[in-house]
Amino acid sequence: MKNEMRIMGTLGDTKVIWDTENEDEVEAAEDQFDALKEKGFKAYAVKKDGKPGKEIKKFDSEAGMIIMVPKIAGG
Amino acid sequence: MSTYTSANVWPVWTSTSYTTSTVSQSSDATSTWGGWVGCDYSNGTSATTSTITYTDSSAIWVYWAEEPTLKAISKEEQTANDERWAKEREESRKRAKKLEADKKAAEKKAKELLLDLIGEDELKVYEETGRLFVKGRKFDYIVNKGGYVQKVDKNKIIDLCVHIQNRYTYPETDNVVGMKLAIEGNEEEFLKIANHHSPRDIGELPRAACM
Repeated sequence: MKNEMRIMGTLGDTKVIWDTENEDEVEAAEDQFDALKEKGFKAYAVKKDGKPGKEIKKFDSEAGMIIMVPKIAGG
Repeated sequence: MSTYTSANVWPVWTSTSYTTSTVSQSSDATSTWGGWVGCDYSNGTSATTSTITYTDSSAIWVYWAEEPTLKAISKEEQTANDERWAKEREESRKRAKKLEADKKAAEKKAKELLLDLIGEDELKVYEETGRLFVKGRKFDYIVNKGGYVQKVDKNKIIDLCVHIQNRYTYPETDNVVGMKLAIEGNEEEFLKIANHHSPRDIGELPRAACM
């Protein structure tokens, strides 16, 4: 099953796609997820059906779509 | 040629009737100021104008700051300078154009991301209004494209100052998506981070995209 991670960036988001049956792809996506979490990004698992997003602390290879967002700050 | 140096130009400027053996005319604050700010300075007496050789504000500044012998710039040098400046201006224009194109492309991508979350119809409303309605567990919110969030509490609205870090480097709509996810993902933490302004009454909620 195809899954994707959208990483917010200054030039728009970058897509990382993996197939849950391909171990190398899953591992690469997980490494990227962990590196971004270390930088302070928040991870949200979302569905395309409009349901609210859910914050996730650990990489979920079967999340469907994960959005990586820079942490928020008060203005 | 005048022998003003950094050591004596200041007293010439600030004192009246300053004279030394190296300055061959009497001068005062008014005339030195005139020399500094004006072109072709002359105090009106032939004895003084014959010894003062600086002619404009840049000339006296050079005497004051560096004491070099002032050289007139040649036509060739001026042409070379003009060409260099024109090239720099052109490069600067190109950089600004590219930056603008990058910004537009980034915003387009951010809207595609929002499209995946709210669908085509609501994206149209968002594009028209610049607002996204988000339902939290405790409150409702209006996230504005301009970068601020409004918390709706019964018939009151509270402006919240909160955004993704370094939001000005990200597309505007990515900030909107970030706010939506932060509210849905952990509303309590979101409210703790946001700075709250005083509540105010609202008559009717503004139109906004929702899900």
